[in-house]
Parts: sequence; structure tokens; C-alpha cells
Amino acid sequence: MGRPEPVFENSNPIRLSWREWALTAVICLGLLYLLPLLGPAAGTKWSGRDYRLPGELSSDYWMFREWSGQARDRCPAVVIGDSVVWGQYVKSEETLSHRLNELAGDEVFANLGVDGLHPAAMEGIVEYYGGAIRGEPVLVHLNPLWMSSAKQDLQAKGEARFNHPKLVPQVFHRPASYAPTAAEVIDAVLERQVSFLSWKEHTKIAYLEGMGWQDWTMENPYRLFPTDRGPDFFSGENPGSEPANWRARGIAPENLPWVEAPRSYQWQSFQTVVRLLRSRGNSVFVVLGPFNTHALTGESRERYEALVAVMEQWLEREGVPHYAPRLLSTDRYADVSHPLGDGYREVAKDLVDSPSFQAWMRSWSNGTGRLPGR
Amino acid sequence: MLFHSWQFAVFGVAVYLVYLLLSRTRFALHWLLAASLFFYGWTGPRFVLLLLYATAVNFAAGAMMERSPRRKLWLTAAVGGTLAPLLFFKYAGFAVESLNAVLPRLGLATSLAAPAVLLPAGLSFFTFRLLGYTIDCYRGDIERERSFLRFATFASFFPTLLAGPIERASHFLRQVASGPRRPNGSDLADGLSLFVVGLFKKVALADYLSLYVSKVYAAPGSFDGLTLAAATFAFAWQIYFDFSGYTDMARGIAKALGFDIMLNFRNPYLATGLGDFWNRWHISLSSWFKDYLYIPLGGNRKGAFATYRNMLVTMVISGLWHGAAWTFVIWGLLHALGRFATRELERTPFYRNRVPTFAKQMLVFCFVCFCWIFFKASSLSDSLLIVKRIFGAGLGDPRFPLAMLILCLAVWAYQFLVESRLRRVAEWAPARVAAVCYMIVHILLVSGGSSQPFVYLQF
Repeated sequence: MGRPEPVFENSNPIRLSWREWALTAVICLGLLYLLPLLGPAAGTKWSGRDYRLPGELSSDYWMFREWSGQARDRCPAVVIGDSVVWGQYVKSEETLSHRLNELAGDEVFANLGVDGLHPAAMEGIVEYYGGAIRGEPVLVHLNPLWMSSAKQDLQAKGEARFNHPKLVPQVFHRPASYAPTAAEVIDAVLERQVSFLSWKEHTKIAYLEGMGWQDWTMENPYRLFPTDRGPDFFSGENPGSEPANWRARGIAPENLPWVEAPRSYQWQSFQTVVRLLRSRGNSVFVVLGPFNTHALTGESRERYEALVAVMEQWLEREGVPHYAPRLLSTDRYADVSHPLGDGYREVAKDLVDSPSFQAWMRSWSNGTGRLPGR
Repeated sequence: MLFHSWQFAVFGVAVYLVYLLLSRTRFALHWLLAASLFFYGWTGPRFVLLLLYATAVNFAAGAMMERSPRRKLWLTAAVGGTLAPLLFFKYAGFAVESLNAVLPRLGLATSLAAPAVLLPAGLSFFTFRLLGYTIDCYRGDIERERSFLRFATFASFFPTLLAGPIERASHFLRQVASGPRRPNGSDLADGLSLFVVGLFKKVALADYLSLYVSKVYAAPGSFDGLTLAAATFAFAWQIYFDFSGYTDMARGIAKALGFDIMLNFRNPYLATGLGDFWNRWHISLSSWFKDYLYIPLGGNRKGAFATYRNMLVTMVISGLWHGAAWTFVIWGLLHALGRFATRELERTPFYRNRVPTFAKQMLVFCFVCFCWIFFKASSLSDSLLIVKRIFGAGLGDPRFPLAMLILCLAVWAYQFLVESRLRRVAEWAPARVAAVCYMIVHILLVSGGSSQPFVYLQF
């Protein structure tokens, strides 16, 4: 007792030489590379037309990356956006991409909508997880709701809770609402760069009820591994919320303050998204709205229209084809920004009939200006 | 700054790389000292002054004892001056609370206000480290250190600063006597080996077990006997993995820097007696108490009564060292009683020769688990409630995670293997590589993301 011991007179003999450490590093790196490949058989998850990622997996970016790769192989074009594209109040066969495909008579547009994907998060998902759609035609939806207040625009200090914090810029040009710890920044940056880590997050979200394995075994003490969630879980067929008209849901017209475009963080992020996509060779088309201005007070509506006008001017200046669908009738909306099933049908119809959309289509569909198969 | 945090990863790599560059220069120790003070200042910049104060007091005492004939006076002054902050920060609140409980019984209606102070991290550890040096100087066991730089580096060496091991001055100062040794590749490989094992113990095992333990011990009245017993079993392993994991990481970091730090754990749950347990658990502390308290009290040289009295005093003070609460006093007392019992049992030929080693190990393990109840419970009433419920509240479904049980039993089986004649199986190169690969993948794949502090940082 008390005699200083040599460093390895220990309770265990695990001591590796340099060569053994090198071998260990190779084995571990190999395992970390292979595990995501041996993991859940992703390809079996997205069978069927009008596939969309289930709402429960909206922060599963590994799944988004996998699905965008599948979507590229399956469809000539993709639609990116938030829950308006995803179809919060509608089934997967009633979404914007479905309606466009319906008009095309073929599966042309894949739904890459993600719930809560505000422009700052869109910038992150496109940059770090959207590599598979490089060079593809992309229809980008902009939901102006993200500019409706300082909070939505991520400019309200102290408002730390918002969707997809891991996707927003972590170091430079960070939104004012975001105050991460150093560990959170490192985690987010590593997760973007190391496929294994985003796959690990995927297993948590998709198989462990959003918990880590340790917490999951606390909830399920007599099980070691989760069982497969089954194809229904991954189908994404069902809406995220019950479809109902906004008035029936008790939403009253609001006086949304709106952030002016030049000062809007989200608008700047959206501009970055468009530039990024174009720098990657994507043919970009922007859809602005259709926002439910029935649910705005007169004053708020004026500010909104001024905002949209500035956005359209920028898109015009940059030569980005775009379209702002007309205001739908009030019964076509589920809330301030989400159309109901018939609303999507009307938007798709207007879009297909619009000259800018047709011109955009001509630019990548063999110059026919028609949706393939139409 | 926890060893298993990103902040430490950045700090550790930066310190190591600069230390490598400076290791052939006379600035190596300057750098190590600066890094250590920065590391300590991270927990609270004001506490650095406390560390420097204790360092200066003991350095000066060493010097004065060499020059002055009044050695005992200087020893007393140093011990008093070093213990004073520990007594104030750690025990003032406990003393006031105890007084407040007693005063009304004496007919005094006064209530004293407990000082609202935060216990500086590592205070108990560096206090004992420095006192060990001063007492060794007084006894003439070591020569006093003439360089304040070397002494301050010993006092504040960052890998062992917050939770030990309580390194002996003779061992550490010898390694820097003629400048620190330049670390080589083998040191780094060995250091990494220790660090990974420690990291696995902490994040994959201790933090995992704490999920169950915290849930049950937070509301012991809501759980049945079997669940409380399972949580106590889990805590026994949690605290072992937590503290020995910290120690492994500390020793690994020190080794990578070219320093050997003393062993602190040696498979304590394989002990066959309570004396054996304390030869295996927190060795640096138990040996400190043996050398600086038990033996000076007379040890076992003055008859059975004095021996047991000395053991009792040592164990109760050891309990109080861990925490200022009556539960820790009882914990120390129970361990003392356990030591008496197993010491007497070991004197009987039947117990010594006929009782199987495994049975002795299980007996000691169960007793140690029982003692942990008082260590872990938040109050004395909770401790008594847990004991009562374990023995009388029936057997419900403990919902103890199977994975937790498998991991604990696997480690236990591994420890049995290591201490058996089959140790060579564990030393076989493919087995070692496979074990490290498993630990790394386990840490990366299934460990929780949160950095929980080490249990022993509160002491």
C-alpha cells in the first residue's frame, strides 16, 4: 500500500503498441464506414409514387440525403421546401409534387419537402445533404411566413428554440436567435461532415423513438435492440395535421409585422440557397407562396405585398424564373401558409399554365416545354 | 473542464503539442505549470489563488523545517494553514447545520446562518497531496524541494488536480528532478490505451448506470425492495466506473506527457476482505490515511483494542473526507465495522481455508454495496428508508435494463479472468485490439451525448 506502481500495473491489461493502435484505427474507420451501409436497408423504404419523408423523420438528415439520391434516380426534377411542399395537411397523393405529376401523367417531380425547413435551414440541407441533386432541375418553394416577424426571421435574441438548429450556419453569419454551446457547434459541424454521425442520428430518430440507445433501454429494459419499425412508419403517406379550413380551426386574421426584405436573415439565406443551387448547375425555379392573405389584417397585407414585390424584383434581376401563385379562395387554406388538397390542385394548374414555368420546363425537358409524358 | 468534453480535447491537444516542442528546453515545466493553472482557473479563476496559497504555505514550510530547529512548529503551522480552507469550504456548512440541530435541544433558540460558499474543485485532493509532502519533509523521508517551479508543478499537475490520484511528492518530484523526461511514441501509445479505457468506463458505463441510479435514488419511497437493491448494485458499479475511469484518463494523460502516476484501483470488487478492499479501492487515499493517520496513531502495534480504535478513527475520517454529512460518517463507520469483522474472520482457519474465495468475494461485495446506500442517498432518512424497503418492501419488477446487467457482468467476468491463471487470454494481442475496437465503436455508437461530471469532483 502506498508504493507507487508502474503505470501499467493495472486492473486490466489493455495496452496497445503503436502498431496495434494503427491496426485498431484501420478497423474502427472501416467499421464506421461500413455500419451505415449495413444499417437499415434504406432502399426498401421509399417504394410507391409520391413518396415523402415521414414527418417524424423531418430532422433525420441522413434519411434526407438517402432519399434525395433515390429521388434523383427516380424523377427528372425535385421540389424543395418546408411543410407547404411536404403537405402538412394533406395525404402524400395530394401534395404539390403529386398534383404536378398528375398533370404530367408521370412521376416527374419528387417531394423533398421537410417540415419546418426555413430558408436558413434549407441553406444547410442543400449544402451538406443535398449533394445528390447537383445539376438537377429544382423547384424551390419560398414560404414568406419565415419573414413574418423577427422571431420567425431568427433575429429575436434569446429565442433559442427554432426548427433545425443543426442546419443553420454554426460559426459565421449565425442567426441572432441561435446561441449554441461550443459542444453543440462541434456536434453539428461533425454531423454534417461525418456520414456515420448523421446515420447514428438517423437510427435514434427512426428506431429509438428519438432517444439514444442508453435512454431507449431505460424505457425498454428487457430489449437490447429495436425491432424494425415496418414499412408503414416510413411511408410518409399520412398528413402531419388534420385537414381543416383555417376559419374552422379558429384562426383569426393577424397583424403580422413582417421583416423588410433587405434586413431579413431568412431572405438572405434564401438568396444564398438559390445562388448555391445555380453554382452547382441546378436549373432553379422559385415558387413564392401562395400565402393566405385572407388571414392578414389590411395593414399587414400591404406590408406583405411590398415584401413579395422586393423579392420578385431580386429574382427578376438575377434571372431566376419564378412564379407567385394567385391568392386562392379562403376555403382552400388550412392556415396562413398551407393550402388544403384542392388548393394544391389549383396551384399546380396555375403553375403549369404560367409562361415562366413553361419556359423553365423547356430549358431542361428536351425543349418541348411539356412535362415528360404529358 | 471535464476530460470527456470538447473543451478538454482542444486544451489537451494544444498543451501536448506545445509541451513536445518545449520538452527539450528549460521552459517545459513553465508550460506545464501555466497549463495546469489555466485548467484549474477554468473551474473558477478565484480558486487559483487558493491553490497558489496552499502551494506557497507548504513550500515555505518545507524550507523552514530545513533551516529551523522548531520543525514541529512549522509542521503545525503548515498543516493548520493548509487545512483551514478545506475546513471552511467543506465543513463549515455541515458544522453549522449540526449545531442548528443541537442548539434547540439545549434550550437555545438561535439559528446560525450557514456560509454560502462553493467548494473549490479538487480542494480535498491538492490539500492532501501538499500535506503529504510537508509531513514527509518533517519526518525526513524526503528532502525538501528547492525549486518553487517544480513544487508548484507537483501541486497543480492538471491531470491529477481535480480528483487525484493523490500523488506522493517523492514519486512525482523524482520525475522532474533533472527536468521532465521528453515523452516518446510509446508514452503516447500507453497514454492513449489508458485514456480510452477510462473514457469507456465513464461515458459508456458510469453515465449509463447513472440513468437508473438517479431515477431510483431520487424517489426511494416510490420503489420496491428489488428495484432499490438493483439501483444499489448499479451505483456500486457506477461509482467504480466513474472514479476509476477518471483515474485511468488522468494517468493516461500524464503518461502521454511522460509522467507515471500511481495506481488508484485494482479490481476492488474482487476483494476477499474489507482490508483487501481498501488495498484495491482509491489506493492513493487509503494509503495516504494509512501512512499519515493510521500508523501515526499507533497502527496495529499497540494491541487489539488500539488497532480497532485506530481503524475506526481512520475510517470515520475517511468517510468525512468524502463529504460533510452524517451519511458519510456512517459509511466510514460501517466500513470500519466491516474491517473488524473480516479481520477477525480471516483469523479463523475455517474462514481462511474452507470458505471458497468466490464466496468471500461475494460477501465483501454485498457488504460494500450495503455501505454505498449511505454514500449515495441524499439524506440519512433516505438511507434508512432504502435499507428498510430493501428488506421489507417486496419484490416488484425492477425494470433494470438487461444491457446494463450484461455490461456489468461482462466487466466483472473480465476482472475475474485478469486475476486468474487465464490472464494470458486477455493479454493476447487480438483480444486486446478487439476490446479497444469494441470500446471505441461503443462510445461512438451508443453512448449518450451529454457530458456528466465525475462523481468524485464533488469531494
